[in-house]
Amino acid sequence: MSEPIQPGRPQAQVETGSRMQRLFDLRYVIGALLGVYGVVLVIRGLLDGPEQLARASGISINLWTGIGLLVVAAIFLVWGLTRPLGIDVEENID
Amino acid sequence: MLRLNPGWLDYTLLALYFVVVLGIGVVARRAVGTSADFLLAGRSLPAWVTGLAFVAANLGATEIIGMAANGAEYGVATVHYYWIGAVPAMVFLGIVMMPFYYRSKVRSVPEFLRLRFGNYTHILNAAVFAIASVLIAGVNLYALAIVLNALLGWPEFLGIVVSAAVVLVYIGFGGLGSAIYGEVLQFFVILAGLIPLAIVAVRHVGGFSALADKVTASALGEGGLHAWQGTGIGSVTNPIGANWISIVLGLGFVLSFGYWTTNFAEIQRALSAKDRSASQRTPLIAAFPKILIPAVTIIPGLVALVAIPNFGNDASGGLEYNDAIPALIGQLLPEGVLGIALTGLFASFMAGVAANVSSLNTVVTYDLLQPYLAPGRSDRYYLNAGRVVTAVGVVIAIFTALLAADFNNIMTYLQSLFGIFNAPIFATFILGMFWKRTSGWGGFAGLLTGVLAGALVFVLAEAGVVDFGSGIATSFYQAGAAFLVDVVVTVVVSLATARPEPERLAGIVYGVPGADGVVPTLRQPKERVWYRKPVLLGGLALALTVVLNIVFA
Repeated sequence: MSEPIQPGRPQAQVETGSRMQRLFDLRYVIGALLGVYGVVLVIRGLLDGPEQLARASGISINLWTGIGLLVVAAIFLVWGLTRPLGIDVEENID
Repeated sequence: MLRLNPGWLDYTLLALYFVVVLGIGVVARRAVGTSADFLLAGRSLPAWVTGLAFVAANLGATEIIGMAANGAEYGVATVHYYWIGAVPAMVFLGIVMMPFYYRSKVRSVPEFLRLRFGNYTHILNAAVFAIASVLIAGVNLYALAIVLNALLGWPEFLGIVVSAAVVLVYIGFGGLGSAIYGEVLQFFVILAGLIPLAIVAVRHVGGFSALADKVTASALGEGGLHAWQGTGIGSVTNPIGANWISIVLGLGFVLSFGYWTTNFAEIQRALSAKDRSASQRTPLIAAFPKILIPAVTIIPGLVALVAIPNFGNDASGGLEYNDAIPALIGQLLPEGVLGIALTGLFASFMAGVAANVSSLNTVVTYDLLQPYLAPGRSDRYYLNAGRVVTAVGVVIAIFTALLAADFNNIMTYLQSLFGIFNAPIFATFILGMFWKRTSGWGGFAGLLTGVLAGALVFVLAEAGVVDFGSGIATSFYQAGAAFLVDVVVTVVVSLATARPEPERLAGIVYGVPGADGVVPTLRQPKERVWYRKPVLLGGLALALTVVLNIVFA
């Protein structure tokens, strides 16, 4: 119980704005994946016939889910475009 | 009946997700230069990313499927697992405990114990956590394999190996960074599958009021629609089978605070945030989705109960409670959304395994290898060690999964036992952070006896010596016993042993200035915009929870 204390490596060694973040902005990844899913579901939804509708209790669920996904994708893409990385407002700590 | 019939489109959507996740891993590999990049994601992520990862790390498929099953078995009272059993603890973590964790610059939860209490407590906690992580990863893999087998007809072995390989690739390359990015993606995909499912499910039974009528007429009865009614002491009629005191104290206080404030797989997400304020906001941002998730787990559970004949009577050939979500996906979703829901299930299974593995490699590398087994090596060594531990962890998890396939009951017991380790540790942390007098031996003795007390209650209940009424009530009492014993023993032993040396307290105990002269207090970070103020965010989450509890009382 009397070992010298070795705290975690000082964070000074970690450069600000990680390489991970500079490599790719997660907002674009989310926007792209959900966007592709959205487009596919909207097309599938427009082609849905009575059989698919009956399965989902009469809701055109593919179409609506696709639209929802496109909206979320658009939010992330617009966010990424209007607030690119690197100009984040500085925050005060302590 | 459970077997799904996905079309080529569904498989394409699933494959696309795998490509994106593996792509993240491969690209993220270029971001990894040091062990800190690999194991801590460079401590640079924004709060919304770590916040969503925080909630997603807990949104494993076992959780989703299990909560839908609870919804079918206990009804609306299942919300206690979210509104009482998670949100208050998450707010407490964000406002009270996160400042201490973040300021201490620890890289893991066990490391905090090392700074504060010394090596024995540290080794005890780190070793237990490492063993628990790898076994739970195995249990998750096995659960995934069962679902793959039931839904798609894949052999269990194939399911286990394929999913383990995917996890290995993206964690092994990108480390915690790609685990967290994967979790955030998974969060959106699982909701994109569950929200349509819940909507269609309600429509399927004819709307909300029809659902309520049918639940009242079902085995659950009127109590199945209420969270608090029928939880009076001595007259418990609510299907959850516990009175309000054991719900509030057992689930709300002891169990959930132990889990949410000290489980490293969760805290690790907050520790990887870019600054103290962002680390505090991590669990607070996570609280909001957590408040709303029961809508997409409990509703499908209730619909399955009333819409699927003989549901929950597996003895007489009906489906099990755990089949609620898979069965509804198969019955209600057409090609397209079906693929999204399937992808969400896969994704959340893998995110659960990935969360276990990415916290395992950090604890083994920074808490077992670096201080004790292989001290004083280069950072390169620890980076490679992190990668090797990842691979070894995944391989052990595969074996655990295969073992679980043969000894299903043993794994259930093991998981309950690990639950025992969570309950007392919250007491140890709170005393350590806020009471200067807590000594190293006090912390160690309290933690050890707390665990033993919890284990004793568990064994006595299993052996039938004591009877608390239901499994849920037993786990509440077991956690309560562990907590109380931990507090009492820690206090008594601390008072009987020497005061801790001042350098053990510097900068990590309330009111004791650190080497940099900063005194740890509960003063909150100054933020200009309201959505960055931790106290405001936490207050909003609690207020919303109170309102919902009144509405669904």
